[in-house]
Amino acid sequence: MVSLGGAQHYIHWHFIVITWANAIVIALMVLAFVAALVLPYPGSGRPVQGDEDVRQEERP
Amino acid sequence: MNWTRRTRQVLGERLPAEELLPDRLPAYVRSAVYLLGVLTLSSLVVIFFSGIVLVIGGVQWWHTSPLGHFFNSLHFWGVQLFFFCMVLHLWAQYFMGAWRDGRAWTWVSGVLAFLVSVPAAFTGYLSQTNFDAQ
Repeated sequence: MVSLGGAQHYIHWHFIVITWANAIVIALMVLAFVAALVLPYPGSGRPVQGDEDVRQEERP
Repeated sequence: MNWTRRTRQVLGERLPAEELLPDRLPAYVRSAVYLLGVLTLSSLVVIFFSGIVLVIGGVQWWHTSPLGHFFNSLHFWGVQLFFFCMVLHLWAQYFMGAWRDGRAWTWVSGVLAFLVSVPAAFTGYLSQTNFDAQ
């Protein structure tokens, strides 16, 4: 278990000061964003019934 | 023209019935990026109902009883998920230029949601009734 009530640990890098907890959350957000863009969507290779006329539609 | 007819006409133009609750979507929507908005909304529903339960139970209840702890945690982690997904949704919509092609008001609704959520999140610190709240 991680104690949420204890003293915070900080990263000091030049003028940037950030807690490890916040830095980890930001890193996880960037990872989740890239994963959402890059990873194939489940079932994306499977044609959907009635979807033929919109599959080639251009992005607006 | 009376106001009911005008309202019906405006709603008919802005929200045409045949385009509501679509059962077919363009191919480009098949990406996890398009789940971020609905994940934000889903976590908002969890926050909303767990918040109501916390209000009914009261401060003593959510700090001392096991069920109170559960709803306290549910509310807390719901808020974490809400902000996590909302910011990712903001990034996605920003890079997609989601304000274009007549969608400016959709973008504005997101801006308003963001501006309301940040101060609302500070009320959660008060509910901890500890040094953070002070």
